[in-house]
Amino acid sequence: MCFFSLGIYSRLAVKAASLVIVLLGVLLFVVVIFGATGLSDRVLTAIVNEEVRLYRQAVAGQIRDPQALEEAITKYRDELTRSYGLDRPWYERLPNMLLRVITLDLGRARLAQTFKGSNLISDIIMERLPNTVILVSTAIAINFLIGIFLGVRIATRPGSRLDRSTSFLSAISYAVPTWWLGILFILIFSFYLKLFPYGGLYSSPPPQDPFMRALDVVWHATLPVSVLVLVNVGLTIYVTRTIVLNIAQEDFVQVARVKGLPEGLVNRRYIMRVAAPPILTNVILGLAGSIGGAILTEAVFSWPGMGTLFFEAIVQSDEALILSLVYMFTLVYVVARFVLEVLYAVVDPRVRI
Amino acid sequence: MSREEALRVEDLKVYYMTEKGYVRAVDEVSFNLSKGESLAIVGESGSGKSTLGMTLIRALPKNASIVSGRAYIFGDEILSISLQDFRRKFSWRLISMVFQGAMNSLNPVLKVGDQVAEPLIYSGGLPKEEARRRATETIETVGLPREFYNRYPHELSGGMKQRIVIAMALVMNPQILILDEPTSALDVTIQAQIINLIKDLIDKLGLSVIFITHDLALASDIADRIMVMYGGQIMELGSTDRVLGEGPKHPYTEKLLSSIPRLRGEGMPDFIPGRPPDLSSPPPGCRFHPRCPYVFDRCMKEEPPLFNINSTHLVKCWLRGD
Amino acid sequence: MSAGFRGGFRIYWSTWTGRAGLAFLILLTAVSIYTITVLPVAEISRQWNDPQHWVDYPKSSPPTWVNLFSEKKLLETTTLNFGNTQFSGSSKSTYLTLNYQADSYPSYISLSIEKLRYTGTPPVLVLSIVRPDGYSVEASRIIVPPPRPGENPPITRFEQAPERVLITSSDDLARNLAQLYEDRFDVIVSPIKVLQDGVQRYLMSTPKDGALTPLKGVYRFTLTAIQSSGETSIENGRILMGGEAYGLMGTDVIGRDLAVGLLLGFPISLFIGLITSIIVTGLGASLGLVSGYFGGKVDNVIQRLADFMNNIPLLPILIFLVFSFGAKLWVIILVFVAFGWPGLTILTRSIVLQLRESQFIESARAVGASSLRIVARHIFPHIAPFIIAQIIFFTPSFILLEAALSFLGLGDPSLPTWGQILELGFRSAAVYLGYWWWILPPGILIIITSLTFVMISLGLEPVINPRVRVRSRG
Repeated sequence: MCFFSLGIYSRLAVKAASLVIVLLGVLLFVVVIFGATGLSDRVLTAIVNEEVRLYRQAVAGQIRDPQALEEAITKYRDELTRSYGLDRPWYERLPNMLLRVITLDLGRARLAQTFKGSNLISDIIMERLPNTVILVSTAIAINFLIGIFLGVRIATRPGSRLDRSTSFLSAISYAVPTWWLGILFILIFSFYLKLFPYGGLYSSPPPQDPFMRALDVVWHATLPVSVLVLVNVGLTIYVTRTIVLNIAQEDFVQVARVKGLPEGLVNRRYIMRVAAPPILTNVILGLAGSIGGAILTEAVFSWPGMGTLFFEAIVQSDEALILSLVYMFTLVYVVARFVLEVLYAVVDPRVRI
Repeated sequence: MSREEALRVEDLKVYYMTEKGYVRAVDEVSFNLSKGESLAIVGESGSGKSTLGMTLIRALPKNASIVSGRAYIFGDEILSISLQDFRRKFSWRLISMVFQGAMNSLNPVLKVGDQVAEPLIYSGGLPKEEARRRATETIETVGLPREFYNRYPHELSGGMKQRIVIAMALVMNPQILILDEPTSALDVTIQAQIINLIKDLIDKLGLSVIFITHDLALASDIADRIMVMYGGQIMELGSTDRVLGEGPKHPYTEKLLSSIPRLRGEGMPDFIPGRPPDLSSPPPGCRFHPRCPYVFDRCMKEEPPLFNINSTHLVKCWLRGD
Repeated sequence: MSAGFRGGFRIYWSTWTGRAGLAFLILLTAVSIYTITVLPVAEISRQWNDPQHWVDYPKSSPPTWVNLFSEKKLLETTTLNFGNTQFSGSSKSTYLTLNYQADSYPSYISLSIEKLRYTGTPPVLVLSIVRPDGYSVEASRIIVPPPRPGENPPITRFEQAPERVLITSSDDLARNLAQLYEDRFDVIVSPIKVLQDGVQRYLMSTPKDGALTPLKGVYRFTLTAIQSSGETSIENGRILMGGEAYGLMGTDVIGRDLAVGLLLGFPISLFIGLITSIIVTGLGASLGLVSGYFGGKVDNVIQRLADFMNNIPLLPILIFLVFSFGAKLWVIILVFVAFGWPGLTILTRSIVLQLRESQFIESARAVGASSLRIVARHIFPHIAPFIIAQIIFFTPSFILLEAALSFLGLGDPSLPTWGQILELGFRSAAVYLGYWWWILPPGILIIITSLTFVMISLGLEPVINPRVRVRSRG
């Protein structure tokens, strides 16, 4: 009740501010780790070396005298070292480094590239992010539809065989690693049954016709989406069922019936309407937690999104890419939580003061 | 009785099915209520008083069943008809109820005014505008400003919520109103306000009221007659003047009465020795005998009938007859 | 916990999930203890991390028991041992025979010589093979290195590691077989084609209607030491015919016995799961206890921190940290601990807050008990069962997290885990080649281990949280 006197906007503003603090905190933390473990020095040195190499190639034709050449290169290297701040310890470089990370100016990736060949990390992320959004949001939508539909149905028959088996299945799905289920699905549906592709976003070459192309994406997305849904839907069903069941036992539901309201209205207004906010919170928090599952699922299905990029960055030991991806994941997570907060204010009048 | 009879209950038995067997929550209860009369049902928790209220509004939980008995509202039997019929013809139109715990009776995400107006629309068939107007009037009747129509439950204090719940019960102009512990969660000053409101409403609207409470003092303040329940049975039933004015005739009522100065809203009179009886295996004889200071042989063997002390005062105790 | 331990256990035992969970836990523990006894740490590095140990195993082979279920029988790995052999006097050769009756060819044939000793001139070891049809080919030659300056006879060679010759990739044998096919069967085939198709196919077939048919019967492998003077002895020599099936669980792409890796996974995943969970629970509960009981500034700081941590996406940060600090077991555990405590702290705090207001704490405080005493004697015993349940509840999440990190290539490389087995499998394209024996068992074991703790948790729930028990109304 500490927000009692605050309006909805100021309340949301307070929340936004605290999430920005979280974001900055994570960033600061990551940057400190980045600097303290010496990773930063290694990344910058690599960049400097690469630029010096390019410079050497460029000027080798113009400067004939080997000694003058070496001098020019050394001068150039010193300049670069100073401009990147490599001559100072990381904690003096830190403010500048923070600023660069915030503006996503993280330089270039080692090996990863966009489709068109750019190796600017911001370009790569802008190319991959939509793919992840498509995959994850489809999975979330399907998970929502199935989970809430079944959860509500089951809540009408608590203690039934269906109810008990659902509770047990959702417990099992907690114990199944998402990524392993992905591998299993590839083995069954791609290797043995040959129904779906092994991975990727398009067939190669991708179909030219836009409609066929869309179908091709759907065909490629079927397995990863199924995996994400299967692993999460048990929890959604269970959470929905429990919340609906608890609310159905509330006094005001019984009062509504006694008041002579039709059963349909009671279900809609007195059960579902009240259950919506907590279901929303639980499910979305659960799904936000499944970001990890999405990273791994993408990696398994070589889905060209942020998760696969993260996997590649690790395999290639690309520090700069890893750093910016950690930042991006936190950003996405924090934004998602803020959207949830807004959504919550819309559905629940208790928040909307 | 010159006045018209609003409600009559005959030989009502309501049992709960539990793992331990039947729990006789209400056992052989009969009483009547005249038009404009207020009856207080007094007892500890577990005495069956709330179950009795729930039975009359047909809102018993699934594991409860009406084993026998009839109840008539203005001469029409209401326990044997289908639930749909009851809800269409009686519920909220003739008999309505203020349930225990006002905060739990309100849907937290719906405007309170809409919750008051709903039965007018969906059961009464009124257009929305008309329903809204009538609901606003009712909200004013219970002493709240009309703007409260658009408030949500969490924006109201406990007393305000209680008023809204009362308005909700009154919106269809019922003849009979059951109030189940309407003041138990409120502090003392608010309690007094609510009690005064209820008294006003009884006078103004000519309501017949069943007032369920554990607080004998409160009951005496509001009720024309008092019905004391223990272990699912009526122990004493008579006009307030007789039961309290001339002194109680049942040892249990006596105990309840002597505990009044100590009672403050919540809780039961904890210095009555022993606990309320286990109704899945009630003690033989009189159900109160394990805790009764005047207990003698017969109390343990034979259950006393309701002795008629005079035409309006019944007592279930071997001390009052033979 | 008025029900006490016995009563609690009876409630636990009455749920089938509780019984199954406990049975699985006993099984997992037993396998772990067996593994630790049979394969101590030194043995792990030998059997799993030392290429010498599994160099002769067939690569990417299914387990042998698949033969029970399939029509076509896969060849099992066969070893022929020459044993301790003296090459002396007039007979400077020794031989072994093999009755070959399989429908398929060995995946490879190798010859290894252990600890060769010679006097006189350095010998040349020649392996020749006589086929069931009587034709003979020379398979391989091992030229033993001459004495180094200052070395005195007897000279010992191949002492540290046995000399191993993969005769199925021997150019000599390919050439000799091409010659044999031309001379005897009038089939012209180039040595390169022989090498490409697999030397063993030509060695162990006869051409019939333009195709190769397996030649069944007795093969004779003769090992001869050619030496102008002196004597030669070997401690052991063996011929290995690589099968297409190996052991109970098959092998991975470099030939490691997956059974060993899977066995080692048991104690490691139990250790990581339980240790992490115990530390996380201990830390989380203590912080919650302090935060809830003492309140004030400490409470504020702890709650802010917990709230902060709750707003961070866990896996990316974990990946980043393990990547920065290096994939070592203690780093992984430390990182899990650092990020695992907030949820439990918030939960414990709310329980302690409720307890603090309860009557028995009030009365303890009224009679002047110290804070420490109240926490130790009154609050802790109350939340202890809850804490134990939390340990069990958290264990599978850490097992799964570790597996996920391993799968991303961030597992501790010195310890084989199920996640790492899967990682190598996935990266060696096992799934695209249908190597199910490499993919299924580690995953199933991860699930069974996690599920064990999930089931124990489910069984503990009615014990710890009596509200779950069916309520009866009076």
